[in-house]
Amino acid sequence: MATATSTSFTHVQRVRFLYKTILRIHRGLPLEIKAIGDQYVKDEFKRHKKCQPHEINPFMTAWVDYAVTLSKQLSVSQLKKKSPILGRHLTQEELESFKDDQVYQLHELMQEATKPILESDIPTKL
Amino acid sequence: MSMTTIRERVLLVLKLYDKIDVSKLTLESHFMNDLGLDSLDHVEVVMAMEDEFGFEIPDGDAEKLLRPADIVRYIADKEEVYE
Repeated sequence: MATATSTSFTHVQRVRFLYKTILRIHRGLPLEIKAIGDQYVKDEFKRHKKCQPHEINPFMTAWVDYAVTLSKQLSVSQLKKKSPILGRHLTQEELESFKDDQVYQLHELMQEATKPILESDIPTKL
Repeated sequence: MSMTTIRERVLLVLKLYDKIDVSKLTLESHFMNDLGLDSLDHVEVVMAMEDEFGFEIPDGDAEKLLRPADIVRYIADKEEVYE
């Protein structure tokens, strides 16, 4: 007999399992990427704790895809290759589904991530 | 390893976890009800215990570890430590 409680309990178990799996996979990432990745996963899962029912499936599917992709990329056979690949590019369709401010945010992130480190960026003590 | 060291190590790991208010932490405090953690935080606590004690805690067991004392008992069982 499936009651409302047993269903939601199973959902919590699924989410917990996915959350732990992702954090485990992140242990294979380079440290500085792991730090950003862990924080992002934690924030995203927390932000969606009270999400709308119709948002649950896309959220879970996207994170399962992420876990599958990343665990393949961090597998021993992949890492043995000369230049292991991490992550993937966004598709044209994904980019087009973004809102303007999301595209803008992404652009800012790209600029920030690719700019060379300037001497003036290094904080100096007074 | 003795029961005392297990207790100390469990409490130390919990004190280092930034979402736990150390002033409310006792062996008997409930992670959700007393310490205000959610089930995602609880996953992180269990992972920290796995790191500390060097073995994996299966999900089915992990969700029953609701107080520091439960974790202490669980680890003592695994390591065959008795009072």
